[in-house]
Amino acid sequence: MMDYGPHTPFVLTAYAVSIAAIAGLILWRIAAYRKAAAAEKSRQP
Amino acid sequence: MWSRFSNPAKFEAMALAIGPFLFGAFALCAVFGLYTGLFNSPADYQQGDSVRIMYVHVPAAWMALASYTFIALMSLVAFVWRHSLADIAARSAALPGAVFTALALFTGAVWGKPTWGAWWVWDARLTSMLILLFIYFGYMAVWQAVPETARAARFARILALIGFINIPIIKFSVDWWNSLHQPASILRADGPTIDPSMLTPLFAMIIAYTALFGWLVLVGMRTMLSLQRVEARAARSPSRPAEVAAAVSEEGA
Repeated sequence: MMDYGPHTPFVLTAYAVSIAAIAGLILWRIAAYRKAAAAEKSRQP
Repeated sequence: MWSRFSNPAKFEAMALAIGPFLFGAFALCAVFGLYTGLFNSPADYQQGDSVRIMYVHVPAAWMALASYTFIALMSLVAFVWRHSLADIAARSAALPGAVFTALALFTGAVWGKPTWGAWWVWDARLTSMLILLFIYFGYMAVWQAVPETARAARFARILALIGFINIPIIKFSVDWWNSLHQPASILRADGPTIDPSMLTPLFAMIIAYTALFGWLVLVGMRTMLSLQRVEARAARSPSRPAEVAAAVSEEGA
């Protein structure tokens, strides 16, 4: 288990928020692309 | 060189080819950098273990500046060469850039508390980074607020180029003014001042964030090109489908 003494909550918070934000950004971009691709497919003649 | 990828079909083929490599580079470097940063790198003799925040803070700050520089460069290309994809590239970089800037500010605050004793100070480096976040918001708002794409693009390019003045101010703020923030320790004329045991995970994370940015921009550009084709088809047909309007609105900047 990670134990960085008094700095543990600061280190873990920084990493957790960074990972969550980056994962959110990746998922957002993939979802937007899939939605656009689906809309394009539905409009194809 | 610029005209080579002005054809959207050629660009999409290129994006499909290099996208997986960029994402793979991001995943590999991020896993290595996170593991090494958390478990294998030493604590700092002054800051202790809080120095590990550097491995997520510095790459985010680097990408905040690099993303904006990319937006300004693409805006210049759109102004001068009228490149068909430059505005799309700039617009696609705005959201990742804003997220990286917000992350740099947040992780900086979390690092500042144990190091300086304060979450925030109105220091030149911190304040100029906060201004950069507002410029990102303004840039994204222009694209959303102006309904006519050509006018929105013109306003967004002007804002991007004016806002670029802030980038050298951020970079040199620690040299020009008295600052709590430490001076440059990587990009220096006499070389980095960080020990290789810390520099290795730091470089891995910088490569990871850079590759991720590249992948996000490519996916964002492909999304916008797809929406443009849908809008073009919808404009030729009598009714504009609701899912197109929703997709355009959700994609945002």
